[in-house]
Amino acid sequence: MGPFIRKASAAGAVIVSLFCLNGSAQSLTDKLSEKESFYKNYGNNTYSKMTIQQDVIGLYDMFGEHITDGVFMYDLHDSSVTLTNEREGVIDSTLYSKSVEFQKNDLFEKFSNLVVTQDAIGGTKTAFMVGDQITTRFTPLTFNKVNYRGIRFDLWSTGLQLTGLLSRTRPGFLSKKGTSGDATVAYPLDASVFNDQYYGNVSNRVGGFYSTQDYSSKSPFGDYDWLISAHAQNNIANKVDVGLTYINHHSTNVKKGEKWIEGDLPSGALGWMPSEIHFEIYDLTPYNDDDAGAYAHDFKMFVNNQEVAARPQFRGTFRKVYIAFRDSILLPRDLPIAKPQSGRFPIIVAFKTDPQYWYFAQSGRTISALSGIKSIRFEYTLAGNYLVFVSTSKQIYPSISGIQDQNTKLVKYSPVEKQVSDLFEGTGQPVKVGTSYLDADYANYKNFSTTYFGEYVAKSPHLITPERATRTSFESICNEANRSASLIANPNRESDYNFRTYTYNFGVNASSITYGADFSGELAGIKFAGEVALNQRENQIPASDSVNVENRWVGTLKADKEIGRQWGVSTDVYYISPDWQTNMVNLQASRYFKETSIRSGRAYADYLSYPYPHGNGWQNVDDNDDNDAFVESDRRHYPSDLSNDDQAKFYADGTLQWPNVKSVLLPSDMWIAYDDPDGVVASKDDRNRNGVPDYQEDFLLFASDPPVFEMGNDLNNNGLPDYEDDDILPDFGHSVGSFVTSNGIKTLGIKGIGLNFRWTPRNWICDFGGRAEGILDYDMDGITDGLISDEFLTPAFYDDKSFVVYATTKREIIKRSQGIQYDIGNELRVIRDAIANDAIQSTGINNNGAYNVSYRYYIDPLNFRRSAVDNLIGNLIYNNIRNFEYAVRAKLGAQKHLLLDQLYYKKYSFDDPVAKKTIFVERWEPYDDRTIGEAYLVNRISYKIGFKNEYEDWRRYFNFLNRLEIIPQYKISYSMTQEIQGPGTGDPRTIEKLEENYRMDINHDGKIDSTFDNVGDNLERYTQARIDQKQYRDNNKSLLLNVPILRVNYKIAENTQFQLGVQGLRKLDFISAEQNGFNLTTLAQVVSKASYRGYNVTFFLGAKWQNNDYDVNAYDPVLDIGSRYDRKKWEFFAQLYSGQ
Amino acid sequence: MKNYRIQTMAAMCCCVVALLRPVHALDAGRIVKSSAFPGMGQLGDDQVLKGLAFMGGEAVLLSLMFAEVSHQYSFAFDTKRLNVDYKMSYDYQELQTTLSTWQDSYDRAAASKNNALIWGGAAAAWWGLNIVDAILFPPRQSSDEQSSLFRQMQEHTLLAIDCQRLSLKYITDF
Repeated sequence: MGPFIRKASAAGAVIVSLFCLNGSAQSLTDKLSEKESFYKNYGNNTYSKMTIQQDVIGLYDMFGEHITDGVFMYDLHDSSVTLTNEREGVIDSTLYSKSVEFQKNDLFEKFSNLVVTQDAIGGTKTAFMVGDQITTRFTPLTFNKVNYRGIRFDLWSTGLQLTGLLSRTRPGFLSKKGTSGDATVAYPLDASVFNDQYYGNVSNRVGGFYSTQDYSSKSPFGDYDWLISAHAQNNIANKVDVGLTYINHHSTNVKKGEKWIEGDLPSGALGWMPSEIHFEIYDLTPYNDDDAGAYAHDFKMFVNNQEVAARPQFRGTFRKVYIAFRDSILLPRDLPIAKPQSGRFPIIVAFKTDPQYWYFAQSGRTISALSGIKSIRFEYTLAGNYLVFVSTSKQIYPSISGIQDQNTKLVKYSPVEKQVSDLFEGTGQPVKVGTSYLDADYANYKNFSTTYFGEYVAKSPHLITPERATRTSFESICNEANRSASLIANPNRESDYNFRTYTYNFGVNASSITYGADFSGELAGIKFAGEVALNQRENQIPASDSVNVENRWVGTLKADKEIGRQWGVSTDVYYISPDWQTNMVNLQASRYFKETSIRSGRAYADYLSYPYPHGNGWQNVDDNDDNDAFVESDRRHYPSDLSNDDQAKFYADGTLQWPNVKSVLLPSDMWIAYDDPDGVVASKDDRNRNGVPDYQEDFLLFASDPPVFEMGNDLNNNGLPDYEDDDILPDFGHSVGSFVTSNGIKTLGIKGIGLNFRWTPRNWICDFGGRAEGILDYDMDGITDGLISDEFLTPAFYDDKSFVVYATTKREIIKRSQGIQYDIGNELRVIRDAIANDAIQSTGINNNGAYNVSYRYYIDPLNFRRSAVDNLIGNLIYNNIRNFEYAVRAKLGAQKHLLLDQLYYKKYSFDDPVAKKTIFVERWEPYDDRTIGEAYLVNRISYKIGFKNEYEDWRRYFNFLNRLEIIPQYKISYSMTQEIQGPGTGDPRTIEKLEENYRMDINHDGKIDSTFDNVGDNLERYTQARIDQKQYRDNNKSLLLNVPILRVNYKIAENTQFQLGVQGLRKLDFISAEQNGFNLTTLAQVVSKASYRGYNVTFFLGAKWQNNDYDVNAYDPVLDIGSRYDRKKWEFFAQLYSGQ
Repeated sequence: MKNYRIQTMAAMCCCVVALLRPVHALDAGRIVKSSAFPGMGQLGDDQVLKGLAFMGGEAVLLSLMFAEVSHQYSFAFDTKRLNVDYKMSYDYQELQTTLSTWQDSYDRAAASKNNALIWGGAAAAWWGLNIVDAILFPPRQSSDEQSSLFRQMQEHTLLAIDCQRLSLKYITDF
């Protein structure tokens, strides 16, 4: 019975299907016939491949004029509704007010999020642009964005050029394939505005949040940011271009209504007024427990310029002082603290802002409400090595705790606050949930958001060395009685130990307004260019709308003058204020409260999740050193050709979600987004971008040499060629001094002057001149410091200043008749460098055609604190012999480092071969007297053997040799660096050290035995050995490469070749002999090239054999050199490339 | 026997004539090139096979020399490493194995040192031979471009051969 039923069912299904098919076919036929018969003529209108067909309606403007039959694509509008009732004294201006940004999916699908309308009349042209990824540049210091998102208007005439910008920078919405939507900011919140998850997360999770949810188009406090900017430029008398810039970036909110060019924040209990402001004071040398730590002497709070004190019943509550004990425990303390805090854990001082906790100390008066607070100022005295972070209880949440009133349909929500005491108490219970505490279990602890946002506001102007004060001696100095006595004896003692009183004015950044002027041209034979700008940053007390204004200046000038035919002089003067930015301040996460959430077994840093408040990561000046479509220190935006598969990786506002963001680990042990997916500065020594420098790569190494033969290739003396310098700073055109803080940097400002004379007689280029630079803000309080009276700084000139004097000469000769081209040059540089130019290094691999890049933070070793460098460089190429080329490159160099009689806190970064991550090590080191010699010699010869047989007799069979080309090549290079005098003349890897290294890997598995469990002394010894060896190897090298190569090409057809290459690479390292060996590489491939469908297509089919034969199989597990195995590798490949 | 002598004389005459054939003037450029790297001078004068032979030979000899130097340093280092291994050995068998390996490395380091000297000497000799060749055996040229040096040598050289003796006299004026 069963089979019968199944058969009957199947038969029925077939019949039904046939009916359906018939129906479908019929309707499809109708549709096709209708479509085919429907005449289209594109003669009148431009043919568009993707015609707008769906949702087409007649569209009319507000005057009723017909616009078009089409779709509504983009909308950005604010609407404010004022409700008044004079009789009842009610005025609510914003009950139904809102700000909306809307985009329909057509904007992405048909226009890739960019629409341009252009027009012209007479000599004037205009253009309107709406969209994302609009490259917009005003001046280097005011506005320079590759991915400007918003509305742009351009006007161009023969004299005047004008650009206007309007953008709601936060929150935002960008359409993507198949998705229309909006970013609506409304108050009060309406259930239709936010989804259920948005309300529920906080209350359900007691403070935790799902950063997997997309809240980028939401604003829980009803606030949003506007950018209104304009730049106009005109030419005066065909001599000078003059430009004016106005940038207004401000925050506003629907509760108070738009003020357009003024910033305004949500106030009241639901706004941004915090109930607590707290300071975190960190040891500036956290990895060193034995030197002077951070010491907090006193903290005072002033309201409305009057000192306040705790009301009697709130003593101990109004101001709380803690010392962190472990990651999860705060111990209550009092000020001044008994002894300095040295190591990783901060001192925390928290103040209540609510007037119920305090009164005015002098008058004894009080105020009744937060709205009476017009200003809040703190004065605090610190000492030692410190770094100060300030934040508030207003925690940054992507969601809010809201309850909808069923009668009024309005949502009432609670502001999200979390005070320090809510997270940590001196009970050993770190996480407070309601009235109970959770265990201090690591994983549980991290499930709860603890991220605070604020900024770093102070830093020790200099570091106190262990020589100057150890931890114990500094404890004694900090003692009140000793301190007073020592002051009498030595008035400078306070500054010696960084005893300083700082002022901090609390305010939430509400607006940033910039006025700028720029100019360029030529007058009296002098070419010049420059700009000046003033930025006014308004910080607001949210409770009362009172503001304080901070002014910052920048100015740059470049000038160049030709003197006669052979002489010239140029100068360069610049001043960039500390913390210069023309956008609103982007808040940072504190180093201590930076914890992560665990989701799906993977840790995510909360501070990298959406949304960033007040600024949203928006920067008016990009960090885009490679000038491509990707900003480095930002998240990626939608690519214009976003595929369906990629949609889920992006937030609604068009930025990439954190799990997909490329990032870099900072020395502060925190991650930042560093999201340029194709690498930043493509090394010209890695043209095929496979992460291996060409001069180390098989066959490519013949024509490539390390970048040691170029003069002036490292003008900032950070150890990297300048063309590979990728700094983490905005591209101001000058490397602004910076300090790595938490999830980013704090720029310290810079002033500098450069002067260069040039002399260019025939075949000669001679330059001589100098440059002096200085950091402006030693203590990082955002204000330019005066000359700090400090015995460590002023006379020594070794902190945060640099001074370089140079003379370079180069002679270039080309004798074509003799086939000789040579140049010889010399550079002499006297350097005093104490400005760290850290950089980001990118390495990557080509994986199935995709370039996978990873980033590593590079620390400027400051090797040239006080030094002189001379390099003599010569290149010769001889190619006057047919089919033959001979090249010689040589360098002789010398460095002299002069002793500096003090210790410096030096940071190292290593690639840990076992854990496969970057590790940072910090320690105190002297700057020793050293003399270093360098020599580099490269010889390279190449000959091309071809045949020209034109036999017609029996030897005609050998005519095939005409297709054959044999290229023998030979390269031999020797590089030598030797510390002639100094502490690094002897190899630290003595037989005893060697034994110690090997003993760290008892089981010979190539891994340090205690690396994984972090126990024992091995880790410390391991680090020490690596640093010692790094220091030695930096100044001592002796490497010979001997490379014979034979290449054979045989032309199979006109565009098809068989290619064979055999390379033998002998590596001879005279210092680390375990690296010595012979690498034999054989590559055979067939290459076929053709033009196919407009593309240049290249096909490779071949195989590669590699045989790496080490002389001895010795592997040093500590230094990660040598190999325990020889290696044979064979690979077959068939590859297809296409290009334009 | 007489025929044999006549044949011998004729052959020797041919050799000497070949040796003293007309050549270029002493070419400083050729010598400098050959001194810069073996074979360059010869290649510059279109003596391709000879030039490649000198160049390739030098590359091979230098490669062999560097290989031996590399072995010398590597095996010398290996003796230090094995010394550490020896100290860390925990039983007799391992001690013996390590000791044997150590001895092997020691011997190979010493042998490599000798080999390096041999190949280095050969490379230097080959380089020198290339320079001599550049001086003495430039390519064949037409008579109007004959070398003054060899022309002088020909003009002042008297070669006498008979069945009993061979004499070569060089006459010069002072």
